[in-house]
Amino acid sequence: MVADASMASVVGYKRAWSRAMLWKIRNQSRRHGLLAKKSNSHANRLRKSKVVKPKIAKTENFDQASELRKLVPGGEAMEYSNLLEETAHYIKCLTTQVGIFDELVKGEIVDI
Amino acid sequence: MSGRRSRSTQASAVSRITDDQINDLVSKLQQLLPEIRDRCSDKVSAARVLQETCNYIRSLHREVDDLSERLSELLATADPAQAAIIRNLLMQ
Repeated sequence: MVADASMASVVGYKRAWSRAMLWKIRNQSRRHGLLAKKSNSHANRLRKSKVVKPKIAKTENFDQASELRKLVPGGEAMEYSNLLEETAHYIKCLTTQVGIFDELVKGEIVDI
Repeated sequence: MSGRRSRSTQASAVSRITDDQINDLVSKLQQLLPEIRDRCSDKVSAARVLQETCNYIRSLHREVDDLSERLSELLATADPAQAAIIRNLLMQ
């Protein structure tokens, strides 16, 4: 969860997948009452921007992509071409994240 | 012929993405997948690319989860100052 949050907030609102992830995280926090009332304006701003609410996308190449849509945040509602682009970026971020965590873990082990 | 034209006009009204652009995006994705990139230099089917992409994302998720867990355990027993720095980095 923390890994997701830090990765998504670094990317910010530049990508549909990171917006979807941030939106989901903020909603979860709100439900747990962790954020103050002003989080409502945050959520509203997110909604008015390009955050997409879950809806079934149109039909083209979808049977192949249905599995992928479940793995990429916000993937369910994306156009097929967007999905491909977002997936590429998402994978790059995930591999970067793995590299960073790996370094952190190795660093910790060496120091201890 | 006119039937096809009107269909494609409808399609481009909805989205201007061509098949070529889709193929281009698929091959970009292919370049990111170690399984395919290292083994098959020939063109691979889009379906295969999507399948391998799903597998790759799932394995990356597993790696992140595994490393997160190890990191949490290490932070719990590590030097407090060092742990605090790393936690700040991760928590933004």
